[in-house]
Amino acid sequence: MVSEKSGPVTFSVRARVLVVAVNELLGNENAKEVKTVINKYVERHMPLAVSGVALDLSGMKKIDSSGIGALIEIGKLFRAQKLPFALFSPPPSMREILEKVNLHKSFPIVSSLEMIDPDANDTNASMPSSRIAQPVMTGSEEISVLKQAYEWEIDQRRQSEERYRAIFENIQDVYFEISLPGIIEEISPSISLISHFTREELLGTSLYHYYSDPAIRERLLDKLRAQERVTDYEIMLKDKDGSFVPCSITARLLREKNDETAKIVGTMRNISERYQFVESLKKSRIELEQRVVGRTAELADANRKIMQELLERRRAEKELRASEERYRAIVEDQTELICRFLPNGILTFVNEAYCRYFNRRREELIGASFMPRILEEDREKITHLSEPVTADSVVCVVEHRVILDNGDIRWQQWTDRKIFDDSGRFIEFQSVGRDITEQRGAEEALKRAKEELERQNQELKKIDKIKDGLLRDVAHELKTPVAKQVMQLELAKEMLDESGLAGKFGNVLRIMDESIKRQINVINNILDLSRLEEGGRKYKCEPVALDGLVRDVLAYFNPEITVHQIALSEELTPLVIRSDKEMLFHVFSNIVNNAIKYRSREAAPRIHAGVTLQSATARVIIEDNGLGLAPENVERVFDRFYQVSASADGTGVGLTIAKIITEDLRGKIWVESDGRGKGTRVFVQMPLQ
Amino acid sequence: MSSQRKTILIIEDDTDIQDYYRIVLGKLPVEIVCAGNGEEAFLILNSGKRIDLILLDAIMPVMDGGVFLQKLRQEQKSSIPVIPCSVDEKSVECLTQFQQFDHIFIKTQGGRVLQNIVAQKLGL
Repeated sequence: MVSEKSGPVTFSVRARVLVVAVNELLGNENAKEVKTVINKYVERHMPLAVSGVALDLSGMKKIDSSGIGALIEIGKLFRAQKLPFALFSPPPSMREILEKVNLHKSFPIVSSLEMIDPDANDTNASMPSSRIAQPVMTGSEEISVLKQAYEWEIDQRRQSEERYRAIFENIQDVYFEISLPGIIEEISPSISLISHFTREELLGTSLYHYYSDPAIRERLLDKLRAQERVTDYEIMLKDKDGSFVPCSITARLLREKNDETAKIVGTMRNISERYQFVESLKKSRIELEQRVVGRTAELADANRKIMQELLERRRAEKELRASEERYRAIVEDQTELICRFLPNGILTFVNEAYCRYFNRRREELIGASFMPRILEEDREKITHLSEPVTADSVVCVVEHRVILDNGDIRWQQWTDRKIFDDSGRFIEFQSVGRDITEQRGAEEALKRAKEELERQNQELKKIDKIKDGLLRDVAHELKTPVAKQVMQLELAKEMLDESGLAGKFGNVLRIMDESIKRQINVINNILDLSRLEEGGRKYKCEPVALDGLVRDVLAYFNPEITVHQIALSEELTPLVIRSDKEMLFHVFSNIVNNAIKYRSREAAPRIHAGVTLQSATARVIIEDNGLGLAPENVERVFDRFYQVSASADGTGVGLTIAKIITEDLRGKIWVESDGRGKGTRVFVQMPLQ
Repeated sequence: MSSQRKTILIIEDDTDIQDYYRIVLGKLPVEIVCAGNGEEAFLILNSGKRIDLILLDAIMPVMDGGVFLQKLRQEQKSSIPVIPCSVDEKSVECLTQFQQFDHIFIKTQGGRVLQNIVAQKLGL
C-alpha cells in the first residue's frame, strides 16, 4: 500500500480503491488548498488505475459550508473520471451534518471499502465493477445542498452565539478593551454596577483618570508585557464621586504588529466586599481588645450595618451585545466557573476555569456527575434540581461546600439558570459559580468576634452594675453615721444654747464640727477616687468656657479666700473647649483647695489663676506663694495618699483624682515648685476639642 | 389640732433620723407621720389619710425609695410632692431616673436647710 501525504490530504491505495483522507477540518480555511492538492494528484496520475475513490472523512472533526462545497467539487472531479465516488466513514457528528444538508442523496456514505468495490480484496478481479449507485448531481441539486449547508452553518453559529451570550449574561464582571496608551475602546455596561460611571461616559477617555495612582497602571503594564497576562491582579480605581473602588483584574495583552494596535482585553471585578470584610474584621478586633464598656450600642450598630451590606445581593447584569468570538474570549478568560448539567448532575459543559479549579481534564468532567464532589451534608441544598421545572423558578442561587482532590474543603456560590428551547421545553441547567471560601471565612470570623465582644460587654455590664451597687451601699454605710453625727451635733448645740451652756462648750463643738466636715471630705474623696479608678465613667463632651469655669471655682472658695485674706489675681482669656464641665470643676477645685490649704503662713498669701491659649491647647495655671515642694516631692504629689505633712488638713487623694480626670479627658497635669517655702505652680493643659 | 395643718409623710428606715426630722420639722405648723419603708408608707396612703408632702429616703430595706416612687406615680397616679432625702447626690439617682426634683435634701446639710425646703414646698 502506497501512501502519500500532501498538506492536509493523505492519498493511499488500499486494494483497488483510492483513499483520499482529509484531516482535521474541511472548511473556509483549507477547502481551497484541499481542492488544489487533489486536482494536482489527479492530473499527475492520469488515468487513475483504481476501481473507485473513497473520500476518507474519519479524521475530520469540523466542516462548514465551504467544506461542503469542496466535497461536491471533489466528487464531481472523480465522477468526471468515470470513477465511483463515496464518502468514507465520517464520525457520527459529521455524518449527521452531511445528511442534514442532503449530501448523502448525491454521494453515498459508506463504512467499508467493499461497498465501493466488492472485489476490492480480490486482486484478480477485472475492473471496474462497482455496484454502488452513482447518481448524477444536477446543478440545482448542488445549489440546494449548498444552500442547506449554508443555512445549517448559520443555524449552528446562531445557536453557539446564543449559548455564549446566555453564559455571558450570567457573568457579573466587567469586560474591557484598552489600548496600550490607556484609551478605553470598549467596556461593558455592567461598569455602572461597580461605579458611578456609565459605559458612554468612559468610552474613548483615558484610563489614567480612573487610577488612584498612575504608577499602578505602569506596574500592571510592565507585568502584562512580561507575562502576556495577569490573573486576579488587585488595583484601586477612582470613582466618579472621588471614592476608591478596589478591583481585581484578569487580562491579557493582545500583541499586534506594533504597540499602536496592541490592546489589553480582560475582565474586572469589584472586590470591595473582600476589602470590607478584612477591614471590618480588623476594626472589630481592635474594639474587642479595648473592651470599652458603654460603647455596646455604637458597636452593635456598626456591626449591624456591616451585616446588612453582607446580605445585599448584587443586581442582575444588563444585556451586552457582542460577537460570538468576543463572548467566547470572555468566557474562556473568566475566573468564574461555568458549567451546564442535566437534572441528575451529569455535566455537559465546563469552562477552562472549572477544569482548573477541580484540577481535572475536561474529558474527565463531562459526562459524569458533580454530586460526589459536593460535601455530603450539603447535598440536600441542591434539592431544586429535582423540583418540577417551571418557568417562574428560572434562576436560583445556592451556596455549598466541595471537596477538592487534595482534601481541601471550599465554599462555592452557584447561580443556576434553567435553559429552555424555543418551544419552552426544559433542556438543562446552566450555572455560574465562584469560590467564596475567603468571604465565608471572613464572615464567620466576624460573627465569632462579634459574639465574643457582645458576651464580654454583657459581662462587663453585669460587673459594672454589681460594682455600682456596691459603691452605693458602701457610700451609704459610711455616710449615714456621719449624717447622724451632724444631726445630733446640731440638736446638742440647740440644747446647749437653750440652757446657756453654749459658750462653755464652744471649743468642743467647733472641733467636732470641723472633724465631721473633714470626715465627709475624706469619705467623698475616697469614694470619688475608687469610682474613677474603677473606670467606666462616661465623660460628657460639651462646650466649656474655661475662663468662666475657673471663675466659678474661685467663687466657690470665696468664703475661705476671704477668711484667710488671700490676695487673688486673675488673667483669664475667654476660651471655650469641648470637655466635661463637672469633672473639670472637680480638677480645678482640688487644685485651688490645695493652694488655700498650703498657703503661706509667713508672707501675705497670694493665689494667681490664669487661662491661656498655648499652641492649640488650653492651659490653666493656679499659682500660689505657699509652702511649695522640695524637688524630690514634686513628682510624688500625684501619688495616692501623699501629703506634705501628716497633720495637713487633707486626704492626700485630691491631686490623684485631678490627674486621673485630666488624663481621662486627654489632658496633662503637672506641678512646678522652686523649693520648700517658695510656692507652687500647677498646670493643666487641655485639648481644644 | 387645726384641720388646716398640712401633713408630711416621712419615709425613713433609721428611727434616729426619723426623730431628728420630727424635732426639726416640729417647729413648723405641720403634722408628721412616719413610715419605716415604702410598704408601710402605702398602708398610710391607702388608709385615706390626706398627705401633702412626702420626705423620701432613697436606700431602705423591704421597699426602697425607687420602687416606692415608681409605684406611687405609675400605679397610684398620685401627684403628692416628694422631697428626696439621702446622704449624697449619687444615692438619689435611683429616684431622679423617674422624675426631676427642684429640691433634694442631703442629710448633712442641717435642719435649717430642711425647714426652708419644706416651708417653700408647702407654701408656709
